Amino acid sequence: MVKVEVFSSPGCAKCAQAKTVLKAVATELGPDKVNWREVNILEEIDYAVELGVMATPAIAINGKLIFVALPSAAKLRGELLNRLG
Amino acid sequence: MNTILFSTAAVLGLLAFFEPCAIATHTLFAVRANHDTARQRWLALLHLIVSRTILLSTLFGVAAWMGLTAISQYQALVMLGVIGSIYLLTRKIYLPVPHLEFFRLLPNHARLSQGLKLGLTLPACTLPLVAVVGVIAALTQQPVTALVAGCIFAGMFSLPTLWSSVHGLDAAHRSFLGKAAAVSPYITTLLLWGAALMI
Repeated sequence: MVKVEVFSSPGCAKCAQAKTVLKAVATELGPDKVNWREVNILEEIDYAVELGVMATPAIAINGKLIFVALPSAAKLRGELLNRLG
Repeated sequence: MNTILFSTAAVLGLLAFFEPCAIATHTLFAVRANHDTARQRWLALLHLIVSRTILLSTLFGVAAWMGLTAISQYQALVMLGVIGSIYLLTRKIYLPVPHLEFFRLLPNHARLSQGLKLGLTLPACTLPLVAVVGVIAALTQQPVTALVAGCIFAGMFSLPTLWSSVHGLDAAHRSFLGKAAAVSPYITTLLLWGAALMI
């Protein structure tokens, strides 16, 4: 099981776009393999700072910041498949 | 004209912080600075404020130096109306406009501090606000006045970050920022349309 956390902020249109596209990738791999969580940075800002998030959207996988900017769906799929073995 | 320039720079500068594409980055920066030692915090804030002031003063100063003799009421009305509509549109559609990262023009930019990177970046959603002040600065044709407007815009844009860096963020403050980010594009639209109607 891979834990994916997408950091976004209220009103961020780019984040909303990213969540729609990237959540489809996670759904495609299956909820038994990918645990998807959306994090509002203003609600969990200390956690975001602890992971090193500098801007939104950002993506952490298994508690580590992997994408500091918006990845393509193919890049995220590749990263997840790599971790799922 | 100078009063209009200064007051517009102050209002739009403050509004720039609350735009959705700027608020997250600046709040993260502020919380990180708040966790730092006092010396590191003030250094980071100095980098942010000084670099942003230099950037905006230069942009507005150049606009005033290039000058704009006049702008018709119709042109001003259309410009404000269109910019206001763009803010409304971004609530429904994602417009892939990149941030203007001026720090990339500097050598070894990857090694610059986060404060300098942030100060030398104009977030995409603040570009129309900068453009409005830039046009008014051009109409004054007074570079020194425009430099002052740049200081005011930069100061107001950085003020909430400065406050959060020093005082930290409690739950009520976070909740306020969340609500402000969600409504700020509508406020911007109303302000710009209001100005267009006044014209």
